Amino acid sequence: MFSTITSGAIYGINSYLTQVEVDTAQGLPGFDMVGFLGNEVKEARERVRVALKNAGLNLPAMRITVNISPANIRKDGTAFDLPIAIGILVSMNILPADSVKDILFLGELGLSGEVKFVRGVLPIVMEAKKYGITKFIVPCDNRREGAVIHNVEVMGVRDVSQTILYLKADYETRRKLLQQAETEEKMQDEIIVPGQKNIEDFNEINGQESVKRAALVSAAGFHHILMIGPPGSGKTMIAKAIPSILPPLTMEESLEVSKIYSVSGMLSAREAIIKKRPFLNPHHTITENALAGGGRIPKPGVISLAHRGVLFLDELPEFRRSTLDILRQPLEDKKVQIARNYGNYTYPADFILVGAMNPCPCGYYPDPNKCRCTPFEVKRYMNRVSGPILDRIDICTEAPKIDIKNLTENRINETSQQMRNKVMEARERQDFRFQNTGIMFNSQMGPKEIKNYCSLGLKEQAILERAFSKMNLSARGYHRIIKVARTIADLEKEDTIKSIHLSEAICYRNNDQKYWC
Amino acid sequence: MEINEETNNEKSCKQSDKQQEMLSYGYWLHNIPGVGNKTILELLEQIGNEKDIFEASEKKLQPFITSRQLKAFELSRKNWKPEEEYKKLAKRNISFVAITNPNYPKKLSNIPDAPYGIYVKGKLPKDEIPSVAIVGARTCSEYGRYMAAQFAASLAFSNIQVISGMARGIDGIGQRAALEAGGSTFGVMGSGVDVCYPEENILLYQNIIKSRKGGIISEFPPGTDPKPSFFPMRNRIISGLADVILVIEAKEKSGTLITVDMALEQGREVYALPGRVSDELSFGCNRLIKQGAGIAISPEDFIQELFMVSTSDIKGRNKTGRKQNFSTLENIILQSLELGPESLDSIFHKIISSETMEAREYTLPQIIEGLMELCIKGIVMQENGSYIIIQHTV
Repeated sequence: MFSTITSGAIYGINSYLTQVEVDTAQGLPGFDMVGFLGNEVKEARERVRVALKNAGLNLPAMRITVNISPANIRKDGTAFDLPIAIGILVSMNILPADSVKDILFLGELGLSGEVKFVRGVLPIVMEAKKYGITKFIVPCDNRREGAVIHNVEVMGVRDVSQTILYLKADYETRRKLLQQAETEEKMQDEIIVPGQKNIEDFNEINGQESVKRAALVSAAGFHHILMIGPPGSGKTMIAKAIPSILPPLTMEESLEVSKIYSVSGMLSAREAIIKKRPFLNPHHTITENALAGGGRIPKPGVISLAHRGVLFLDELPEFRRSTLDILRQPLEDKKVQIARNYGNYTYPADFILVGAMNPCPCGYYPDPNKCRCTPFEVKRYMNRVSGPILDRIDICTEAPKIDIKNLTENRINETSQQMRNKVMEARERQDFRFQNTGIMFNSQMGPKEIKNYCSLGLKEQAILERAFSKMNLSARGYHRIIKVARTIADLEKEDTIKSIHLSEAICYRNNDQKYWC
Repeated sequence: MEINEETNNEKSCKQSDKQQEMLSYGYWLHNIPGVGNKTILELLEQIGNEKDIFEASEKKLQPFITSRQLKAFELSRKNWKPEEEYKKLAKRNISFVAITNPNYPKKLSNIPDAPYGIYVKGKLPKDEIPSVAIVGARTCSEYGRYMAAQFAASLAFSNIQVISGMARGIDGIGQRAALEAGGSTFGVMGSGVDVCYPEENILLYQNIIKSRKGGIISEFPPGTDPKPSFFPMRNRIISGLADVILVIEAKEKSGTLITVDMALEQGREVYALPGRVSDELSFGCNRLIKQGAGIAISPEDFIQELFMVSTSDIKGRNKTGRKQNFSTLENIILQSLELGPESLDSIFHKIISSETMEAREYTLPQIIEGLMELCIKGIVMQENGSYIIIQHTV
């Protein structure tokens, strides 16, 4: 007999629906699977056979053929185990064909018959909903992830027997089972309270006022920022606190980010959706593939996991140069395209790049009393960060050696919440300004927008010109200064860029001038 | 390397044929492997002029040189055609000057262990014009950088020749500033005159030759690559060519101090630029001062004290001492910078924790604006994260 089950698969961070077709027929007993399948999918044969056996259901001595359509797209992953098993059960007449109608199945099987966590439930549920599918059966660990989407019914199952029980039940019993699963989940929540992760707050950081200010500007205009300073000056602490002043994720953004995490299998059973801005802090030994996304079937890399959040690269020059240069295109396009045998994959990568570095190998340059590096060593160290990357960093700030007085002082610092409010106000101004332009932040302005939105008065123009001639600023810094000045003006609730804003922006540019001249 | 330079050394043109001939033999003598400065001087004393040595028999030479040297002598005498080689050298715009030649700098010939011959690309320093060697650390601070440039420029304005080693840091900065001020400056190399080391100073190297006022000098034959052991030797020429040595910045154990030792041996005057006692880069200088070196407190003072040139003669300098109008905030910022370089953060802290109520009101952006204004005016400068006053106001 023939049966078909709806399932889904992921492609990049997008997904598509698939039909799992199962046929059982008289003939030489066997189990064949077709449909351009990856190795994990092919192995489903053994998992399904044993899982069903251990659930008390032996496969019949018949010729079983499974096809997963569309058969021209390569399929990977283990989420087809459950639909295949259900398809076999339907074609064996153990389950009525009606019972699986309009339900989408996803799940990996263990040999004992249990249903295990799979990747990509969220994007598949989102996609399926577009096609009018509202009922889903997924592993119980993925239930919440699916249930994030409104107006869909997501049942989480633990094992094959439970799935059969659910499918055999009538409408009322199904409702009951569903509710039961939900209450069980809630009870678990009560037992294990998700540990509130300690995020850094800006009020814990004493001193470094100028760096904090730069961080505020960076967050307000989504400018990439680089902090240079000796070890122990608080660069890392400030970087870690930056997510706390970014506006909270909107629902739309949150789904976008969650999709990426879902595809990477990084959503935990309890955390169905990413509500906090991501903060990614890869170690400097990271490879190109891990950063941009890689593998035969590319998974999202760190830059995509940092989408809508902060990518913090500590000890910037310690990263391999080739790895850093990977960032060039994503910093420009806000996405990364990876081409592979089986197609092109595009992952979003819109993040604030926060870099931190020492000014020289020993870390203390230009303090002549401590630094033992030769000028050549310093130059070589700085040159590990390539010009094109620097070109895309709008704000460069100096984190000086911190004074012991600052640490012991009991000062009331601005809290992250206060700073966040300022950021949000500045963002509102930007939203208003860039209505219908496709731009969201000041940092994304091109020369045309700069001309439109950042007109300078005569006095300001004069300051800029004088600064350029006196301070040896490079021409490439010109637009960056204006963009940053625009953000500063937004923070100060000013409609026009005043000289005070311009001066501050110049100050942020002036810094890297010294190091990379 | 395409350099627009003089096609022929004027001095060598004026020289008599006899002197030219001697120089060509001297060039040969200076290029025999294994025969050093001392041997050459000894031979000159015992046998006669360069030509005599070239034509001297083995027997005549034997008492003064080792057998190995003798072999080298024979070999090079066979293969070396003095006149041709000398012409080749002239074609490359390099001139050779031997101690026996009247063009050889008098100041240099007076030092112990004076080099028998030196190679020059460009000009030689003039004997009648005073010259100052500006030396200092390769790794220098912004203060040192600024001061080296100031002193060099003032010396150039006063028509004083600036001698240095063209090294990284103070040396190169001083020479660059002297060139920019239109003065004449001479780079003494630790390699052949046609080898620019460090490579990053190639522009300076070319500009010195182009300026037609200065030159590149070395005692090492053209094509010689720099070696660590060459630099102390070079240093004796730096101090030898100069009347006064000015040390800008030096750590306690610095190569610069070798130059100073040589200068003292040669009887040159040594001046040092004082620095803060806590700055390691000024240890060497401060120690020299303690030991009795002259104190260079300002370019004008330095020049006047040494060469009796009054400051009014120094053209082109008008910056220092000019009264400027500053806003209240700018004055407050300048005050906070009075004790030395400060980072933006500490300037901010100093101001908001100061005693006057008015000052405490300033916000960080306001202070940044004032600071940038001062930077643009050229009063304050950023030195890798800290700001320093580079121009003291009255």
